[in-house]
Amino acid sequence: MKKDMSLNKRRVVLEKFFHGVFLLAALIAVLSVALIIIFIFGKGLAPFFSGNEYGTYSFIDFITGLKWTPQSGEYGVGYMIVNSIFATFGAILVGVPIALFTAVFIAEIAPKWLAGIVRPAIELLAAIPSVLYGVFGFAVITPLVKQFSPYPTGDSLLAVIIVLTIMILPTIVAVVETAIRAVPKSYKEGSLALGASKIQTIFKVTLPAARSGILTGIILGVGRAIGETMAVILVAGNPESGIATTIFSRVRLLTTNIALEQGYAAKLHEQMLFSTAVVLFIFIMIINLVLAQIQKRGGDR
Amino acid sequence: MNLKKLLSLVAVATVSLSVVACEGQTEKKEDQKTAESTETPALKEGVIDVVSREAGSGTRQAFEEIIGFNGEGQTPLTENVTIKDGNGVVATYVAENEQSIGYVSFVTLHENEGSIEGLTVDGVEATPENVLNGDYAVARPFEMVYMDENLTDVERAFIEFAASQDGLDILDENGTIVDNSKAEAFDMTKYDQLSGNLMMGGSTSTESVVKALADEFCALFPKVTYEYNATGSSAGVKNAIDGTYKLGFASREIKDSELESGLQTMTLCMDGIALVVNPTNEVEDISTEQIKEVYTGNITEWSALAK
Amino acid sequence: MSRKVKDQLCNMLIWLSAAFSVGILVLVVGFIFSKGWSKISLDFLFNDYESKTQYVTLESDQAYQAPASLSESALFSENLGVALELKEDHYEIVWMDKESPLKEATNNADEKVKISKGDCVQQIKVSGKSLKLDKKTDQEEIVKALNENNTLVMKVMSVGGGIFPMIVSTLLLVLVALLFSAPIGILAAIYLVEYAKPGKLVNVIRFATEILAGIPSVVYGLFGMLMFVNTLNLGMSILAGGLTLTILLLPTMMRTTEEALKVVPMSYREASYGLGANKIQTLSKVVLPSAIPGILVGVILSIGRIIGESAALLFTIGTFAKLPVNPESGNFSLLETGTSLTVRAYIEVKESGNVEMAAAIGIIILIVVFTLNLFSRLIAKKFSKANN
Repeated sequence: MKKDMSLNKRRVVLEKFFHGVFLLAALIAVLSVALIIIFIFGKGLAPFFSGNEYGTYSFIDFITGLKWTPQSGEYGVGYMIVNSIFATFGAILVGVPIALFTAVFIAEIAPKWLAGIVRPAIELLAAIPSVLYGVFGFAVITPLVKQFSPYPTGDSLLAVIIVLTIMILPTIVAVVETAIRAVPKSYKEGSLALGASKIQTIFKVTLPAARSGILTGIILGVGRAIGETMAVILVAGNPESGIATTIFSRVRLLTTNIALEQGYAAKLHEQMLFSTAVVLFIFIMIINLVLAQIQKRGGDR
Repeated sequence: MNLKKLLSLVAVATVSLSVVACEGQTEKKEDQKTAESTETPALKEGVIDVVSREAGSGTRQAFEEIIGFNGEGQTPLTENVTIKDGNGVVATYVAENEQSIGYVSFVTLHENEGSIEGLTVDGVEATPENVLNGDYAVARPFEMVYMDENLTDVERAFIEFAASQDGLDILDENGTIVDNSKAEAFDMTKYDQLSGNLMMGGSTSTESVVKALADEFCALFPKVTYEYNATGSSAGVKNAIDGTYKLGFASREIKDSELESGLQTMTLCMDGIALVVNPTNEVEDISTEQIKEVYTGNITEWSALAK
Repeated sequence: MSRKVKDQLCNMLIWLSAAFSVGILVLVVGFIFSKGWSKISLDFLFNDYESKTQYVTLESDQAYQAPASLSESALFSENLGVALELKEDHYEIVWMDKESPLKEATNNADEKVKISKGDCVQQIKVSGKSLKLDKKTDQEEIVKALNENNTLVMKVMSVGGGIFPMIVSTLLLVLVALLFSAPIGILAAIYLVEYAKPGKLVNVIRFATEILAGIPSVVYGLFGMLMFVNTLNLGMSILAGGLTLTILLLPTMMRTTEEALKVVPMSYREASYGLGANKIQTLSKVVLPSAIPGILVGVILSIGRIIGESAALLFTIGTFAKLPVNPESGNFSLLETGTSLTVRAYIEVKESGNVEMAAAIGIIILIVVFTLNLFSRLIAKKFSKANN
């Protein structure tokens, strides 16, 4: 009897122990985010507060500045923010319809054997390292863009948009396809029974029903596009000032700014690059909050 | 089935091409409208595509200092500029873009002969001899920096080797500029059975020549290994001060602020910075004054440079 | 009528889009292969990246016969049993006798040196004279120098250009990153699926995971530099890079494991409890074993992610292509710098405009990733069969 008790007790302790281990592992994710915020924000926000050892910089000038010239002490990321938004928006504008139709193709239209080819092909697109997209862009896309450009260079917003479009395709296709497949069969059958054609069913019934999935896909695509660095660094042109006025203008983006100069930066310059990362981080936070809202609403339905 | 596959492949190819082409065309129309309304419609004909390096690059700092712009109280770099982040990409970019002008290390020009062309500056050809006798103006030193207290015999031997006839010959073979007329041969008997690791790093421009130098040094002393992390001139100096690199390298002159910590410097060799253009470009000469005008945005047309 | 036209139009658009997506892939992969394929060879895979020069001492004790099949432009030395041929501007060893003194060559520290076909001979020092070998050197003089004396010193360069050090470094990165992220990710997923009750804590954990998944890799790079390289003082090293990747992988790891755990039918757990097993027993004996294939798929896909990652490694592992071996002790060490395949590919393009090298590295990565994808698909297939 006494032995049983102690055995039971040990069991409870063991259960508790493992519960603790699992919880700890899960909390590492939270800890990581906390550490990233502390480190990045700590260094990145320091220049905006008085008492910074390398001198202070006005936050307003930083966020609205249209010039990034470290040698003359000007650190404005305003134009990069706008350019990053332009590039992301452009990639979404071109990429989403293509991705949407491709997902419809795989899930609804294509014969099984063809879907079996297209799907892995698009997955493979996701597996190509971003550096190689950069090299591809550098060697193929910019010369192509140059043919149409009024400027003498192919490095442009358009080149960035094309590269990003290719890169967000697989993300969106995968999410949208899953969403389309999750639409109950009865919806489609109902529509078809009412005399609608297959295409009509897809556009009037299936896609609206998969709306929240599609939105999720788009938001994830936005996240991927805004954070991409190595693929665009070789095709963006990266000037030190200026919002893109045309699609053929050279652009500097938030991410490329960091990757270009971090190797050299010290003191205030380095801190300002971390500030750039803070801006990126805030973008990601906003995107995630929007995503959470969408998923919540999707769940309510 | 096979025919089907082939057909679909052809379809894929044409579609992907035409989509790209269509994108280009429709956007061009829009662009022409906007171009008219904006202030500076840079037309393709004869516009100079100015290429510079990223902020912090040793090559860029040296270039700007020699030409005399973008410093304190000086005219800033033009806003109409393409930034490329390495000697290699500048070379490739200039090789592919007919209207571009860029600047690269002589070492890079040496490696890319044929695909890019070096301009004469003030009528002086970009050759090592002209840099040595001071005629070619756009030149900078490759500096080696170290903290004396961090050095062991291996580094001391390497420093001596770099300054010897044998070391200078290697620097010479790799396209940098040295005066090896007075140097003495390296006496390796002083250093018996050296062993250890040469921990080096810094400028990306000096990477290839320092590696060539170190390779020869390690051939003389097979128990010595080397390492070179190309993290940039500033990082090279910074890491030499804190001891991460025993020997740091910079492709520009060392600033006074960097010397405060007791850093020792040694000029490894000189390197010219060549102004490079596409081989199809007919312009052959540029004056230092014109370089400044081009890089500060006062000259924007190739016609202003052609005589 | 108009409905039919509309339908057809939409149908066409759908086909076109799919064709475009696949076309892009064909274009990109085609580009990579066409640019890099000529570089791919066994030497490319297994050679060192940097070339290495050695001064070797050779002692000859017999005369050697020239092989019958020697090209006319080759220079043969009876003294050493070796044939050299001018390739572009350097002399390459094209043939060596099995007993040639080159097989017994020693360097300046009296260590044996392996010289193989394809190495370049740059200089010959014999009887106090020194002869440099390049395309301007008189060929007769070379042969004379080679045969002049029984003892001579040769400067030999083994050609680099291979990616072996980067392959090793990349594999070590995979190892480190998985070693940390797999256990943490799996345990965390178990917590979320099997233990957690809906509430604030779970929401916080989920939100944190989502944020981690969204952070751009360049920001991870900055963080890794600050946290691992500087604060924990690991220096630019494989370990610092691996730990940075650990955090980057965590959300993927958690998500795939969660999915795998959720697929395990509730009835399995109930049956286990019914037989008197406790929670830990149920987990370790029933739930995990049936979820393992799903988890494995997640792990395999993560490997692909690590191999392709570059921005997060740019500031954390270094740029010099060498094996992560401590030069003093000769042991593998995770605290050594190294460089991964993708980082080197970027630097190649940036510093020397070497698109071919980058593309060749790309081919290797694509083949590995493609194999991994196939592998994971196979496992997934088996898994779904086993569960039915």
